[in-house]
Amino acid sequence: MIAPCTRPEFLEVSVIVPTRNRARFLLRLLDALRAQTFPADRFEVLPVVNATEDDTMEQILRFDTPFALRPIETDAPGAASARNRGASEAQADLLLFLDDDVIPSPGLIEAHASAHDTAERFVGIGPYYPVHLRTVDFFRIATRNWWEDLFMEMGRPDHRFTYRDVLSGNLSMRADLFRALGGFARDFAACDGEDWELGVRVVRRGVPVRFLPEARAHHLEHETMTLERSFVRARREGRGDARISRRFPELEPALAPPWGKPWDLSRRRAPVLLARCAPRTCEAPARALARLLPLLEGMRMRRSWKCVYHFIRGYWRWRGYFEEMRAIRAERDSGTPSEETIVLEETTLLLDEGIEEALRRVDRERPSAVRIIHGGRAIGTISAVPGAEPLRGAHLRRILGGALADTLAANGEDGDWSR
Amino acid sequence: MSSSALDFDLMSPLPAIDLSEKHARAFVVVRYLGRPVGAAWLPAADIRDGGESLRETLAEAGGRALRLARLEDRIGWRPVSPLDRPASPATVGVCTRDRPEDLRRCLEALRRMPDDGQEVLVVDSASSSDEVERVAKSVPGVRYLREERPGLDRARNRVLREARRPIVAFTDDDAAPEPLWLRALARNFEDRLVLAATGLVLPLDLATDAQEWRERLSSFARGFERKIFEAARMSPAAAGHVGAGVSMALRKDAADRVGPFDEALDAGTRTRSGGDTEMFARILAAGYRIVYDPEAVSRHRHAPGWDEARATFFGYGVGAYAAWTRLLLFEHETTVLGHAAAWFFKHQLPALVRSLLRVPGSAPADLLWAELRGCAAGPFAYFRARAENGR
Repeated sequence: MIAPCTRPEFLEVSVIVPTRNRARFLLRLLDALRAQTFPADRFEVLPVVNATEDDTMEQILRFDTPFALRPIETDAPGAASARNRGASEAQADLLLFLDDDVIPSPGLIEAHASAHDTAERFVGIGPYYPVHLRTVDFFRIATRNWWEDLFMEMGRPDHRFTYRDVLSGNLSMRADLFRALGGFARDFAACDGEDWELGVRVVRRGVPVRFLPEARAHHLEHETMTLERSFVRARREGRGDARISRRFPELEPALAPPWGKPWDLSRRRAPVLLARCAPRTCEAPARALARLLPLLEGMRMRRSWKCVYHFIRGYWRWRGYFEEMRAIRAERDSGTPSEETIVLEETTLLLDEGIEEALRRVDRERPSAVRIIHGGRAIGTISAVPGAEPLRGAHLRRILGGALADTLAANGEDGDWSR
Repeated sequence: MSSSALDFDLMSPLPAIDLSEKHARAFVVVRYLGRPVGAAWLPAADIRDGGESLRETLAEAGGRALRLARLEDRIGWRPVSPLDRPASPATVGVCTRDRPEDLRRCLEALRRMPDDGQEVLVVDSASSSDEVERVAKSVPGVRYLREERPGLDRARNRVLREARRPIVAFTDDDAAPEPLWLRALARNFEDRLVLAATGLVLPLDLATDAQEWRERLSSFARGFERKIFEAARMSPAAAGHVGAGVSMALRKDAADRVGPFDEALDAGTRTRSGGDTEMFARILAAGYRIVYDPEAVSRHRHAPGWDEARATFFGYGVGAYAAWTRLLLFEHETTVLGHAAAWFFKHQLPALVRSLLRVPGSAPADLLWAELRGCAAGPFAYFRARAENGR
C-alpha cells in the first residue's frame, strides 16, 4: 500500500529500488541515502518490495529518514515489473534506479541530477564498483575484475556504448524518456537481462548513453553472488538472451548458438550441444564438474579453472536459452511482436583525404560500419556491431590506433595520410 | 670488452659522436620524439660513419615499437595519457644504505622532474655513517627517515607506511630516473585493477666488461612496448618478467590488499634479492595487474668490478629461489615448480654448456656458476632470514 501524498514543490529525483527478501541490504542502502549531499527534500525513495518472505516492509516503516520514503508492495514477479511499478508511482521528473545491493557514495544523486540538468534526454549510467577484498579466490577475483573492467571501459572517452552497457543497478533517465521507451519489458520475470533489453531500445532510438563517473557506488556482489548462484544467473541470462534475440532480429546472429560443423566439439560449442541434446542428463555431471573447481583452485591451475568454469557456465547459459526459446514458441501470444529489422549503414573512408577529414566525416555521418581505403587498397574494415551506438570519430581513432594499428603502421610507411 | 652507452632520437639531427677509441661497440638506445622504441649493440665504426645508413640502422632497431609510435603520433591517439599532462600526486621512495655518492646522483635526477606535487622520501637502511643523512638533508624538499635494522624490504614497507600520496614510486639509490619517469609510472594507475607499474631501466654506463655482461645476461629492460601482466595470462611464479624494484610504483594501499613486502627477502638480508619479484607475484595472484611502461625511463649504474658482478649474479640466484620458496610453501603457488625447472633446463643449463664448450659469444662460466650456487642456497637462506626476522 503506497502512502498517498501530493507532489512536493521541489522534488527532483525519484529513487526506485526493487528488493526481495533482502531487508539487510535495503537498510544499508537507505542508510547511505541519508548521507547524500543532494538536499533531502528534493528526492524521494521508493523501495518496491516484491513478494517478500521476510519483514522488509516492517523494517522500512520503522526506518527514520530525512527524505520522503514511500515503500510499495507488489506481487508481480521479477525486478522489471517492480521497477515499472516504482516508475509509475514516482513523482519526480528524474528516475534513478538502484539495486538493493549497492551502497551509493554521498555524491551519487547529485551527480545524476546535475548531469540531467539539460534539455538533452539520455540514459545515465553510474559505476558501482565491487569491494576489493584481500583474497586469492578465483571466482571472487574473476567477478571483481569483470565489474571493474566494465566500468573502466565505459569511462573511456572513446568507448562505443552498446545495449549491454545499460545496467539497471545505477541508472537514471528522465521519466518522460522512460515512458517513451515503454519501460522495462514485462515478460522477463524468469529472465535476467531486462536492462539489456531496454538497452537495445535505447540504442535503436538513438538515445545517447552517458557514463557518470561521479555517480559512483559500491556493489556488495561479494555478499550476494556465489559460484553456485553464478550458474543460476547464467541460466537466467540465457533465457534473457533468447527473448532479446527473438525480439530484435539484428541481434539474433550475435546471440544464437554457434552451431558450426557437426564434428566441431570445441570448448565453445560443446556446452551448446549438451544443453540442446541432453539438458537434464547433463545436469548432474555439470554439478559434479563444479565440485572440481576448488581442487583446481587449490593447485593454482588458473587456466584449467577458467576453462572448466566457463564450460559449466556455458552449459547453464545455453540450457536457459533453449528452455526460453521453447517457452516463447509455446506462447499463444508470444509477448511483444518482433521489432522490424534495422539496416546498419556502412561508409567508405578514404584515408588519402587525411585522417582528420576522415574523423570529421564519421562524426557527421555516424555510420555503423566503415571500410577504410588507402592508396586505392582496402586496408581494414570496422564491422557493424548490432546493438551498438553508431560510430563517432573518437571510436574510429581508437580502432585505428588499436585493432588496426599493425596494418596501418605497415601501410603508413609509404605515404603520409596524417594531414 | 666494453661499450659506450649512447642515445639517439630519430626526430632530431644526429649529434656529433665522440666514441672512445677503446670501445669497439656501443649500446644505442633509439627514441622517437623522446619515446624509447628500441636498443641495439652496434659496431663503433657504423656509428662513427653516421649519416643516413646509421639512421636506417636505428630505425630498424626501433622495429614495431617505432612503427606504432609513428602511427599513434599521426592519428593523435594513445592507449595511455600523454606525458605532457601532470600525473596524479605520488611519493618517490629512495631506499639507501652506505652509498652517499649514488644517492646524491639519484636525488639530483629526481629534482629534474616537473613539479606534479610529488614528495621525495629517503629511507636510510641502517647506514654505518651519517654521510647518507647529510646528503639527503642537503637536498631541498627531501624527507629523511632512518631504519635501524637493515633490509631493503623493511625500508620499502616503511616508505609505504610513511607516504602521503596514493601512488608510491620506488627507485634504488644507484639509479637515476629521467625527468618524466614518475609521470609515466603514475599514469598507469587510472585502471583501478593496476596495483603496480614498472619502467624501462637502461645502463648508466658500460665502461667495464663486468657492466657489459651484467647488461647482456640480466638486463632490467623488458622491451619497448607497454605490457599489461595479469595472472589470467601469466603465472605469478613468472613475476620476474614484469620488471624490477629499481623502477617500480605501487598503490599505497597495496600492503592492505596483498600484504606488505616480505622483510626476510632482498638486500640487507641473507636472501640478497627477490623482494620485488615476490611482491609482484602476490599482486598477480590476487588478480591485480602490473603494467610495464617503457616510457618510464631510469638509468642504473651497474657495479663496475668483476667480483661485484659475481656477487650480483649469486644474489639473484639466492633471491629468485628464496622468493619461490615463500611462494610455494606459504602462498601454495605450485606453478613455481614448473617455472624453476623451465628456467634451469631451458636457460641456465644450455648457457652453462655453451660456456664450458667455449662457444663464441657465450657468457662467462663463473657468472653462471655464481647464479646456480645462489639458486641452491636460496631456500636455506630464506628460512634463516625468516628465523632472524622472528617469524
